[in-house]
Amino acid sequence: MSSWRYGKAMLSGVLALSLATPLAIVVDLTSSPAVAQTAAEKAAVDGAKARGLIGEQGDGYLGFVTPSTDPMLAAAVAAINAGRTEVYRQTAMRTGVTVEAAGQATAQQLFARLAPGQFFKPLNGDWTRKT
Amino acid sequence: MVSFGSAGCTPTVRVEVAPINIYARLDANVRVRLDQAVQTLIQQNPNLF
Repeated sequence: MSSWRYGKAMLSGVLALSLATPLAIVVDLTSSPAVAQTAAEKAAVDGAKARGLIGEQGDGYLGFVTPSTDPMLAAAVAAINAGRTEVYRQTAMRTGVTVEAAGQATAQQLFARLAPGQFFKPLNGDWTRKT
Repeated sequence: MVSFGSAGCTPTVRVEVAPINIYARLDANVRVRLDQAVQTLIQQNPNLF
């Protein structure tokens, strides 16, 4: 029973101390996943896109047209896809749709932005070369 | 008496779910709002798109 009282005294002591000393809590509300993706990753992906190694999928993510043997490229694709998931989530929250819908909507616009010769993969189709 | 484990007798069934085109089924007003948000999204994230 004495330990119980001791604990209570400790708690109130800690509370008193924490209230007396202002705690500075820094919350970064500006965290942007885009910052995490380096320009090098983007350059690698753009180059691979131009060479027809990767393309845009109907779900809003990058995909490999043919299986890749380049681990650096695979890592860059994974990193960018992860970043896309995060912004799809934010967009979905903001517009009241699902993450999947946000990705699919983005895919439509990304398809339009592809240069001729680059690849895209419709939701229920195979890799197609843009003419 | 020999007892066989059931693991070898279980057939593997691969279920592939075809992706549903949710976007095409969105309400028109929602789709317009979403498209606008996506346009901004692409412009603001040049390292992702």
